[in-house]
Amino acid sequence: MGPWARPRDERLRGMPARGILLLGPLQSGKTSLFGLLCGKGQSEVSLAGTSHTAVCGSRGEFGFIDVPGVTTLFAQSEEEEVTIDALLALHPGTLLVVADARNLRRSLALALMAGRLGLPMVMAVNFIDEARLRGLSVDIERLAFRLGFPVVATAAPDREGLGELVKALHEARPLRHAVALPADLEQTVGKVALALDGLSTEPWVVAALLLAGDRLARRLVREELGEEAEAEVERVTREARSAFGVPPEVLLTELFHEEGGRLAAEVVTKIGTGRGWLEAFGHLAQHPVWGVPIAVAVTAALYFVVGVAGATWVVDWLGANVFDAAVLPWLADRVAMIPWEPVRAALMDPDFGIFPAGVVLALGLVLPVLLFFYAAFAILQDSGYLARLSVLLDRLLRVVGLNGRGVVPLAMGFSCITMALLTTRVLHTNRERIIASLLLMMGIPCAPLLGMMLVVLGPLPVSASLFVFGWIGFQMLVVGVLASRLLPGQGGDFIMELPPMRFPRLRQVARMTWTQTWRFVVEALPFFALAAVVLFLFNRLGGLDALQALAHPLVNGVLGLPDEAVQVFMKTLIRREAGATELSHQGPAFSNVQLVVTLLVMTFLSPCVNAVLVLFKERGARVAGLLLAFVTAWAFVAGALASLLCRWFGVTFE
Amino acid sequence: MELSRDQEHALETLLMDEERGGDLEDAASCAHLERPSAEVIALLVAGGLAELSGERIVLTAEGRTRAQSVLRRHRLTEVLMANALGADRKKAFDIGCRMEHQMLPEFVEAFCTLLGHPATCPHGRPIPPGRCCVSRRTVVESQVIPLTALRPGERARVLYIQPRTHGRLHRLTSYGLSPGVVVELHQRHPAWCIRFEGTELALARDVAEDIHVTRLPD
Repeated sequence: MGPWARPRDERLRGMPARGILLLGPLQSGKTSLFGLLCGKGQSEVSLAGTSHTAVCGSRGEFGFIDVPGVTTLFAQSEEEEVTIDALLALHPGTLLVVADARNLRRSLALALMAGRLGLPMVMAVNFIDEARLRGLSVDIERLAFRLGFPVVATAAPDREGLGELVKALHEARPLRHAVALPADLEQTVGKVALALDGLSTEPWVVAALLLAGDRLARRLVREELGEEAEAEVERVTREARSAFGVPPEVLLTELFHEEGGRLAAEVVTKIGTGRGWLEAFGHLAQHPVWGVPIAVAVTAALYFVVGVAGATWVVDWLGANVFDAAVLPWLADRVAMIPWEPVRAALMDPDFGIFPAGVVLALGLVLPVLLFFYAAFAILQDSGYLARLSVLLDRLLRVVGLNGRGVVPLAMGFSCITMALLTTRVLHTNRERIIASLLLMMGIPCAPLLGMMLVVLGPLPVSASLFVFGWIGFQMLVVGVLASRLLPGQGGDFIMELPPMRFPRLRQVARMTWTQTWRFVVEALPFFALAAVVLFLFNRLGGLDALQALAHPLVNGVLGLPDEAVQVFMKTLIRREAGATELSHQGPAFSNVQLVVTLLVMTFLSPCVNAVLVLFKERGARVAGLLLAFVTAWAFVAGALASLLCRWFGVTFE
Repeated sequence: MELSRDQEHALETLLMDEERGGDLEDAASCAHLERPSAEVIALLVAGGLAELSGERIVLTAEGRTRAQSVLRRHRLTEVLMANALGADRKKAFDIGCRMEHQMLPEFVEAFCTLLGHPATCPHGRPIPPGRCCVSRRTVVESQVIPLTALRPGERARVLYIQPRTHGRLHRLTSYGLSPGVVVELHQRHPAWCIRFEGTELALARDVAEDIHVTRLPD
């Protein structure tokens, strides 16, 4: 073993020496391939001095290093520097180039340049499935022959080609395909490389990096050859560089890209246009006119699956046969053995106890709904429809200061606001996250609430449903437009990759459903329990009664609702669907108009305590406090306005 | 035949002489030019651009065409300098004297169109019209267009990306959209959808505007 056997650099301590470095452009599926290769045994290693991290993992005898995606070895951003850093300082034993089959040129350009390091290489041509769906065929054997090292076609999410790839790692070879450079360029790089005698990394590559002014390469020279040598190398470099009008790194990048393009043209053939009926459907789905009925049909199907099958059938069955019949009585028996009453109540109180209001609510009601929602959502996502819907709704969401990306968190809101608030992380700017949180908190009814709303609205004339949902939609639009005007900052860019339309893959859907549901259990479940504790204490201290007395004039006077409505709103604050249940209990005391107004206020009113806690966690105290105050005020204003309008125009919904 | 600076000046002077109907001395001084030397005139005559008509030197048909082209470039430059950029007329003239020799003929029409086909120079003398003036062309055809100028089904090569934010450039290049890539536009509404190689991207209008391309023939 040479002096390079252990990472010389303190900052990279903990990474496997002579590991297999995954090198590839962004969006090539590098990280998901890494995840499949290493499974759970991953550890994050932070590079001190930068905010960046590289991830290490292992599989059998192989250690892997995942670094940020790059398109060239000439780093242009701090993120890309991490990759160069790892290449120079870590001395990987093998390079696993993760190429993007949909876009082979840039991957090959990168591989050709990295090949100059002289390390054994293997290439995974990833996204081969999507390339096939696009009508592209890659001649893997020919590519392997031209490059001189093993090439394997992979489709990371499907695990296609994974076993073959691991086998190929044993046969890694250095690149055989030489890119002929113009004589003067080759000489220039060579001149600098000559001054680098004794370096542990291939001098040609270091010389090219030095010519590009790379500071990591300079550091490498200083550390390995000393400061004197560094000064000499710098002089040679400056001299060589000045001989070129165009920076040498630009020339090199162009040349490698040209050669990559030639190779790609040689091995990629277009078989058919790739325009099957699925693709035609994809085009219709993002068409400004035809996309609308498709979106309506998909929404209806989604509602049936989540709202009816999930939120009603499964939840009812679970409630009757599992939780009420077995789990709660069993828990009650155990809790009854606890000698101290307040603890017993805190755990088992039917309205506020941790078990009935926290855990059972989360597992018996919200979890099954989410499970159905995530499955349906995964189908939409994997089929490629969700991206088309984002394109279709981009303009509409722009009105409220979001863009097509907002579709995901907002749609998620129809299942569970708490989870949707966590999903706002997919948005690019803080401004968008605030607007999305506001809309979610304000007007989007979650699946349980939606279900109960439909129960209450069922016996009323259709005009009542139209009014309720129309009013909610209108208010969201008003608030969204206001927010997008008033909030400072710029909207994020709408740049969205459209995956090819395909039949959803069962394995993918199952995996996504499982991951999301697990995330709910881990991230949201503690909040359900916490919320139950907070409410229990609040109620014990007399807070709820005081609040009820305080709210009375507002509810009775301004909104024109009966006293029972206060009870309903209290329950709504605990959990929205509990309020709706209460409303259907109290139904006879309400006129139809009062039912409509109550439903509106309930929807606008801050969602359940869980969501509020998550809001504080995600948005911070200041923003969350403001949002909450605004939403609560708006709920009563919008409710009062609706009540007033109905009374003025004599609308009774009878 | 390639004309020297002096030859072009001589042609110009001869044309102005014709224009004014006066003698050559007058034309030359008016144009702030030296009276053309005998050698230069001899070269023009040898090249078939000028001839002796009695005591006077006059332009041949070909000489007139060449002279008009020089004068057109000169006076268009004057219009640009004096009318569009606000230089005084003397300065405009001097710059015109230099530019007339350097402006490539293929750019003159676009230049004239940009100025709105002026008929006279700042001194009030006529500018010889070009083809663009006859057809009253109003649009200068640019080879470099934003992606948003493409029609669905058209193919174009990306020339450069001029992003409003660095993050935008980074995001676009991360999908492999960089100069040299050939893209095909297949939808403009509700977002710009492009396909290149095996990738399909949907872009908002402002993003698409930042991408400059050149149209490719089918």
